[in-house]
Amino acid sequence: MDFVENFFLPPSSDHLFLIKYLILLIYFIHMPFISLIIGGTFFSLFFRILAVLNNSSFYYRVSDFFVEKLIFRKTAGIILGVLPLVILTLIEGQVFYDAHIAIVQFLVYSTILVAMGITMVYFYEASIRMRFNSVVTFISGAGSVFFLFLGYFVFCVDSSLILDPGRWAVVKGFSDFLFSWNVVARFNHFIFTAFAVSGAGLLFLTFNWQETQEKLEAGFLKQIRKIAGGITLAFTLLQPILLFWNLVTMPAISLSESVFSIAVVVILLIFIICVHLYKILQDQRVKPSNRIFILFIITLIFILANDHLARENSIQNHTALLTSRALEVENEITTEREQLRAAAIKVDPNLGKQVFENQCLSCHRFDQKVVGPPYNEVLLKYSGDEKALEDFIRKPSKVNPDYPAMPQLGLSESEIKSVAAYLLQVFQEKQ
Amino acid sequence: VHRGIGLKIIATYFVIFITLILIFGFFWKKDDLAPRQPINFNHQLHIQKVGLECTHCHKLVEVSQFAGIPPLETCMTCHKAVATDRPEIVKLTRYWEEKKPIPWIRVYNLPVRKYVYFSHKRHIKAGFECLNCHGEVKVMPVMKRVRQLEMGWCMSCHRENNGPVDCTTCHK
Repeated sequence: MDFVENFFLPPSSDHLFLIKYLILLIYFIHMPFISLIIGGTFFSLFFRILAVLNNSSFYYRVSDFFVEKLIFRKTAGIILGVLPLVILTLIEGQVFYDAHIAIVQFLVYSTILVAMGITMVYFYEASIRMRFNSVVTFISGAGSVFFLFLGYFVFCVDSSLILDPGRWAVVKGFSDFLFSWNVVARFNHFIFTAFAVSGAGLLFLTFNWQETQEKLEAGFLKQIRKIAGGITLAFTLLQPILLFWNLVTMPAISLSESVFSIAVVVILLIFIICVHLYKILQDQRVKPSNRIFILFIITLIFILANDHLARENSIQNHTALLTSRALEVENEITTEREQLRAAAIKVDPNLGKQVFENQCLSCHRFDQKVVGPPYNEVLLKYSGDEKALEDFIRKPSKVNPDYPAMPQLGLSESEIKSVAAYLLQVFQEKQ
Repeated sequence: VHRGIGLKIIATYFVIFITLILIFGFFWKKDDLAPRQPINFNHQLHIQKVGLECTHCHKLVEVSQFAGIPPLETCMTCHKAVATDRPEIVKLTRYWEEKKPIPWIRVYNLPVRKYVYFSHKRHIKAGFECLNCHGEVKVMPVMKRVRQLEMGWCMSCHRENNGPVDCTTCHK
């Protein structure tokens, strides 16, 4: 995969700063969407298997309902599902430039697997919509779940590897495949959060969309409410365990006070969600409000932000190195440019004379007042100090209150130096 | 009555986990990774601005099991004359005049040093650079431990580089 490494340029310091937030933004966009897809497909398949085993038309209907509500159009799948991963791969290539690690390689594999998974999800969706033969439906459903799970397992390996810079030099590819507790914790956290989000999404899309409720009979709605609420509550209740497990297995270098504080905030948010869900399941009269879904999205954002914080803690040293290198390169370029500019400035008596005649003569003479003061009065203080005269021409200021201020002339460096030299030379000759 | 019990169970469950995280956070010490040193020595400055090599001060790394914290003489060869008015250098000079060693806090401490034999000399001879284990010290204004120093970490590197993987290599 050397070509992947060769593909990237060293990032600049501003660029690295921007990238940090861009990655977070990509996560915010990608994760809620992919959670709905993973949960939707998994539970649809699960209820389809139940339907076959129990020979029940109700489970078939639930299975169809999951797909109908949670799997969006194909364009969404490409824009929110695959594209963010491709962009993420390109960005990580910049962040881990020259770190000699398999991060980018893992991400490429992950993106390919997820893309295959999402493609199969749409096969599954089409086979349900068009009532294909059930074998096709099962194969595409199982395939999509398999590829999505595998893709995100590789993704978790990747993000776990990022957290531990000590392993970067050692892990070079799949032959050094990581199977640490942190990977397992992350993968479980990812999948179960996806399940919980998809349950909450189903509640939201069923009970807060007026048309859906009118179309469906009350009995079915009641069942959906039970199933979606139950799924959401069960997997939300797992959150504290998973969160804690992830924290405990993280390398010490990833942790900071903020990581712990945000984890506590996340658990409080989850507690509020659980109370809401519990009320819905207990009391049929309580309407599942959209608050649950919104709280879920906020919680998800907090979880992702926390993970990003841990990651920033871990890669701090690497980022500092890249920033320092980028500054070195920037300094080199600046010095080079200044040298080039200095080399390009030429002092030319002819040019000086030309500028004098075109510009200066309109206001100044040597021995009489015109608009500005005569040279024989003012040049005396500059004789022997050409630089001061250059500075004045470059940025004139009002000196003598008897005359109007001299305007800035917009001359080039060569012109300024030439005219200053010319003036002082003529001044000396006339003295 | 039934509903109240359920909520109480949920609340207890969450309180337990918040407590667990707080306890874990309390026992996790940031200072273990980047302890506050008696003198604010800046590695980045000495490497990047002054242009010193690691071995300029850590002289023993090539010949001994330990890299060694440089003696005060090493600092004073330059700092008798350089930047003597800075507060940190004033502190340094005070240690020098009182003939007391600076009580540096060890950053890279093997978790159970008693049971692990580790030699810097061997690793340098095998061609490893300081940054392989100590990270990019040249961009650390404050020295920070950036590696886990766990056995799994040692082992994966030994395997990768065909180092000895016998128990007795490290556990003498």
